[in-house]
Amino acid sequence: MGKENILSCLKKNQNVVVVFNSQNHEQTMIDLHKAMSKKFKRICMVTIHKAFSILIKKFQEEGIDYSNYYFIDCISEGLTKVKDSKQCIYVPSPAAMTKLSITIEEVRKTHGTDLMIFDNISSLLIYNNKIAVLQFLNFIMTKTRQTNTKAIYSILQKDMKESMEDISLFADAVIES
Amino acid sequence: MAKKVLIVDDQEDILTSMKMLVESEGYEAKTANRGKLALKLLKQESFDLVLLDILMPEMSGMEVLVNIRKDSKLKNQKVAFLSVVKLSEPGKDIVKKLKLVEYFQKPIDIVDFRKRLKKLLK
Repeated sequence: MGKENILSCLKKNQNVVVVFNSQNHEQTMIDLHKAMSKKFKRICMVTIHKAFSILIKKFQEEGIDYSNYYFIDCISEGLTKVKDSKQCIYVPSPAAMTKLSITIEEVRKTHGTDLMIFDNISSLLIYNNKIAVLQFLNFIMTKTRQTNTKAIYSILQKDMKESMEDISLFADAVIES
Repeated sequence: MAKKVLIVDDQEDILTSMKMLVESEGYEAKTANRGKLALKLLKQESFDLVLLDILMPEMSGMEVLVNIRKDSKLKNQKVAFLSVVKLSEPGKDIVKKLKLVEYFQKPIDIVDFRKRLKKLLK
């Protein structure tokens, strides 16, 4: 299942969990960004495993127009001194999930985002226990419905099977990439 | 003899208040703060209903439910979820297949809860 099926699923559903294998994750995400940057007006990208600086470099290389993106970077601040940016806000650590959920809601309100891309749940599981992650996702998905917006959450196949099957109870759709 | 309800939740304060609520309706209530403990109790004694939280450490409510359905002696056990999670449409299909009898979403409405509980234990 590729980019087209993910986009078609997103048309019908608000909270879509996309299950990747480790080989196709990066390329499928790039393909998705290429398509979504044109389809949505304001995108909030929550990055748990790649720094904002690395991401925008990759976007530039791939010719992705990210002018309508706003980034929430959860890893840079814990690793290095970060520079202020108009397009990015930093959360101290992926373990700071309360801070992360407050930031997501603030960005949703301030920037009027119509799509959130959450990449990825697997990385969040490195820093938090699975119940805390499920509670966090349940909260974010409820807010996504309440604000009538859409969201994509990526997760690796292995983690979906081992820890996150319960997400199927509250996500609108779970699809294999 | 009073009908027996097993309440399973990892939060002690919820166990206490739910136990009081169930007992106030004239039922007998027991509690378990872990999924594994709930399965152990279910093997030791019979219950007319299990009220099960979903998001619990070690073993989630879904895992407990799957284990109940797999067990030849417990597979017909009446189970209801009691959780903050709002089930999605695919989620409703999943629990329907697992023969969940009811879903109570926290925070509960006490009047509505009592009414639905009574119906389940009729």
